Amino acid sequence: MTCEEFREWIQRELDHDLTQSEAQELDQHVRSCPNCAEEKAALLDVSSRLDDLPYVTPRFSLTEEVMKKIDAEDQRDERTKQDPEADRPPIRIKEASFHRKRRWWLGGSTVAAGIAILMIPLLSSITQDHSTQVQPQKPSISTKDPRDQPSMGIQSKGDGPQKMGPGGHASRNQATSPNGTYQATVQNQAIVIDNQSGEEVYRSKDLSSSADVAQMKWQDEGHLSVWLRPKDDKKEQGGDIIIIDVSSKTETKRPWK
Amino acid sequence: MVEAGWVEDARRGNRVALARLLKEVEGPVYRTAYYMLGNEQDALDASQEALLRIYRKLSSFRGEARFETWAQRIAIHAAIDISRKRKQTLPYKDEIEPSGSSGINSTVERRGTAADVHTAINRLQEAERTAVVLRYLQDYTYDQIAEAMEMPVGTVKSHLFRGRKKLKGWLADYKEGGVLS
Repeated sequence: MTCEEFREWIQRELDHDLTQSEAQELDQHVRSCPNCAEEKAALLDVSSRLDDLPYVTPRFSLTEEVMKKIDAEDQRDERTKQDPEADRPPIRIKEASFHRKRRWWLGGSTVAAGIAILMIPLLSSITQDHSTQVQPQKPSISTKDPRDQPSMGIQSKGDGPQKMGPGGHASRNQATSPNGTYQATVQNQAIVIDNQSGEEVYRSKDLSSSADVAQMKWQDEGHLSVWLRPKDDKKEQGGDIIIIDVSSKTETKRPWK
Repeated sequence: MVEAGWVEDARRGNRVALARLLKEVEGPVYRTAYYMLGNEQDALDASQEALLRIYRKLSSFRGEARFETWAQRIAIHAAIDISRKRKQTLPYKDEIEPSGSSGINSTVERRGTAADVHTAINRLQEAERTAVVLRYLQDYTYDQIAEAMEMPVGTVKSHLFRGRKKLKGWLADYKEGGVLS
């Protein structure tokens, strides 16, 4: 064996990785090779100094701090669940006048008049693309309290058909990217992508109220596919696939057959 | 030791189980962050961030690694993120450090102290530093380091060996009263 190979054994010995016979062989070599003996002594010194590094501890309870943050987050989520508009920034009234001209229907449950008007542009931006594939059902407009009907088209956790199109682990309402860099959730009328710090890095165009998110799945660390199925699609086939590219903050849509 | 069932309970929304789980890993997570980053404030920031990420990712923990190792993985990433962020805001940090307050003047006094080793660890490349920290501050085996770093054992060994060799050279320089670089 060469000195080079013994040098590796010296390293392995520090990690208690040598067998007894290997250790003996190394020992014999080191006794007859001053260079390797010196190397061994120096590495032993480094290793013991690393062993002696202080065992530091945080000066306050990190768990306590983090639990406070988690509670605050949960409370915010709770508020959002009760009132989908609570954490939404003021809606762009300007666009409303433009979109209101378009004839579109309000699917699913509709909310109190004020919110309904504000929501129209949000609903219409994407749904118009569906018109080629989807026969929209007649609107059933009601003026119920929005709190009774938190889901505006996109269904909230737990309801809706369980059958999925494509495979994968992700659910319809939440999907974490393979390495955990991003988390996508369905919030109100959009797909929201957060980074690990919980900061929003992307918010999709508003989704149609006539479609359900059938599934979300990360294709890789930066691309999320979202399968949308029209609500009235009894046969459970067809719809749209939206592909979100997080890095370029773009989304493309293609038919899902 | 994190017991089987804690993760499941925490995942189901049991706050007590979650707090117990985080409490269990906060020490090791902090230690890794501290030696990865080299200062207390960054270590506190990184480890809190790591604990938050652990909570957020709990649903994706599949038990393919030990919970503690999985937590270390997240801690390493959180520390590296902060370290990269710092480098962006302080591009000349590496050049400033050696001639700073803890530089040449105090080399003789600091000879053989933990501060030397600590400073030297900070000069290692990320992967080398990670391997060294996991080996010495977490007392991990090659296999455990490989699991935490998501790398083959062979790669882990070469990072660890190279790191130790570099430290040997630098620490010998300190002893001879030489400068850091």
